[in-house]
Amino acid sequence: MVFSPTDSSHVNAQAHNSKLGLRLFFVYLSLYATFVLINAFEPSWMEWRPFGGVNLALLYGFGLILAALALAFVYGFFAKVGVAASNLSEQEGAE
Amino acid sequence: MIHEVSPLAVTLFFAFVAATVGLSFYLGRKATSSEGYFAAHGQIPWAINGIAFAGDYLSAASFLGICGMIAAYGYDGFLYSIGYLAGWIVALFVIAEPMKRLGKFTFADALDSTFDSRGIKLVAGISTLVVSIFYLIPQMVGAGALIQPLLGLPHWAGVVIVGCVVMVIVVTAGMVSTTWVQFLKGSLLVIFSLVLAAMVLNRGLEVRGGGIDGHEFETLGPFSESELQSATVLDGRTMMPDGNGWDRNKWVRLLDLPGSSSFTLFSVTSDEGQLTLYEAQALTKTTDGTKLVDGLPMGDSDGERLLRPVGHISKLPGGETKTGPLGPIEFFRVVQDSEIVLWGSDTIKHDDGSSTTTYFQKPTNGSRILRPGEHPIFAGIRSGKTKDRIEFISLMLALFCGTASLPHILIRYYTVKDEAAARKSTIVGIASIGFFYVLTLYLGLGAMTSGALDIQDTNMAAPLLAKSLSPALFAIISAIAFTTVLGTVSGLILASSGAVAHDLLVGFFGMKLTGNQQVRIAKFAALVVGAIAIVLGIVFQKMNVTFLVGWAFSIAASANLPSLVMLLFWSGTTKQGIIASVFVGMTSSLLWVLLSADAFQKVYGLPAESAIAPLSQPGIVTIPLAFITLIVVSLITRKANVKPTHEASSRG
Repeated sequence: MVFSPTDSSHVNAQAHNSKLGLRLFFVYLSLYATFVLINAFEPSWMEWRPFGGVNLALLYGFGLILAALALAFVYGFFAKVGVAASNLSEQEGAE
Repeated sequence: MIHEVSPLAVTLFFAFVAATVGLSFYLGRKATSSEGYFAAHGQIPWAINGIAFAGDYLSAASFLGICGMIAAYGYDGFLYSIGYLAGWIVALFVIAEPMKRLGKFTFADALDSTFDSRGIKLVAGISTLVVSIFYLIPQMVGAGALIQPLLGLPHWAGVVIVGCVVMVIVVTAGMVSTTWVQFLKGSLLVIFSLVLAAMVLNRGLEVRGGGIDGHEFETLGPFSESELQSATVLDGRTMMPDGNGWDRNKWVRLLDLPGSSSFTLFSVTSDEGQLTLYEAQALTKTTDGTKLVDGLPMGDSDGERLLRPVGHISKLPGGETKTGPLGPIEFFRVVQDSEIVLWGSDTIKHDDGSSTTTYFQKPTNGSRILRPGEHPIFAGIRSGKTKDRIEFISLMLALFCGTASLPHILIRYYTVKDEAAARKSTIVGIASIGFFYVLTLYLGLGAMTSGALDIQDTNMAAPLLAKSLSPALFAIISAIAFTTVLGTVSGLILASSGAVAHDLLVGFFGMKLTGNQQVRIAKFAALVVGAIAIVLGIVFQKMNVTFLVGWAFSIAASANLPSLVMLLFWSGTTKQGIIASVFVGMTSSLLWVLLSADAFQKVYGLPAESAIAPLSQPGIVTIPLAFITLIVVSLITRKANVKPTHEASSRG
């Protein structure tokens, strides 16, 4: 399936969304990787209670779930919509 | 533990089954074409598709396995929740929109979108089948585990019922009915998990001496070592002799009545030279298959005994005995500063070939329960050994990469009309799945302190928690747990049938089939895969559900993700590179898990030390291996290929 070069709004939307998605992906990846590495190499840090009387394991774990949700909403809000109709018609034409 | 059959649970279960099968027949009229059967004509609204993602993804492993693991060990089960959800980030930010843009019916369609290669169709189709079947086994095992307490039927009956219902769902209306069953299941699961969590918080926490059957576990002592060694009578009861596997340094058996065969088992705990005896439980399996609980036949009639339900708090902070309703954060604070009685198990071999499994109390500080590293899978992170740390990283990597590689999840992107709908439905999926995973910690800890846990089967933790709160809720949660299996198995069988009909027969073997013929063959393939799933569900009855899911994630992440990601982001990718990557990722991860210590110990019954693979979790090696294979093979073969017009070139 090849997109028409004239379908510029669709291609621009794809490029924009791809770039935005990758940036947000690396933000989340860094959070997740830090969590995994702390657990693997310094698990005792997870027992520290920074605030609210709750330990870091719980705060970070819930933080990762909330961060996933927040980043998903950011992506949904800033992602661009291309010309979906042309996409559909091209798919049909290609078959 | 033997569970009473609840008439309400049975009624609800059959009502759910009737509703889903009825829905399938009703929707079947709309799914006669291949577009309708495989992709619901791309007309599923994004919000419905988002909840259906939750219904597709939140399998028996999530609902039963994670809650059970948290109930038995604490925070470690929540690590799976975190890893499973993190995988959706890959799906949303990297895979969702291109997948919708590139594919039509199956995962192979997307991989093959720019090449039209029979080889890609073959390896992607086989990979879909392998991953789906590995994922099917734990779902079917979970179905069998559920049917026993719910309907009082044997394990195999549960597997057969689920298999048959799912085959009806998939054969009648394909993706249309599968989507609506998954939507129904996803909605019910999240709503009733919230109800359950709210009831756990409202009930609060309470100090008890035992489970909900009212039995208070005894504690005797402290005794000096010499006192215990020389004793023949303790607490007015006759001490049974050592030998035949029993050793009074670890276990003490006191006869309930002189001349009787029943006894009370105690585990011996040493603290600064003083010995304390904590009541334990013993399940003996004789050579003729008879089961004895503390010396009496297992059963609930006169002269018989059952293993007692467990899970209680022995100390609350500040010496309190009851907290009353708790807030969501306060709940964790209180658990963290409490002492909770967890249970361990050991096996004693006897001279006549029989064996006894002993279950013993492990009073554990809440601060330990709410930190990682208590479950055997994760205990290695506290061992200081590099190998154990790598094992942990490898598992978390597989969970992160596996979600966006599961064929039954990927095909759901074809059921919506465009890329924007694919994106929105993934966001709805993340919201509902993330919310459910937050609830798992409340459900698991609620079950841990409910006094209702089945000491032999942690998978039943969530339904038994519901039972401790309300019999009606138990019926509802049990029925939902069953639909949990139905929803996921439907998706897996649909993905497999698409791989057989669309990828292998049409794509690879070049059979000229009309859309309707493809649908007929896919339906036949669904029946065959369903039958295979039934057989595997019975054969693998004893396997751990979460453990098997971990394997499926590793294989999916190694076989599917590298080629999909490289196709999207590297214009140098060639069809030979993709074929080699899928083949190497799939075979290396599959061989690795089959040669791992876990497989040797739990599947073949061989010593773990004789395993060939150095780690149990292959992802950290096999995922990069698949990436490297693709790059190397693509570099070698790119000159021989006319450079294809590439999707990546349009990505800026």
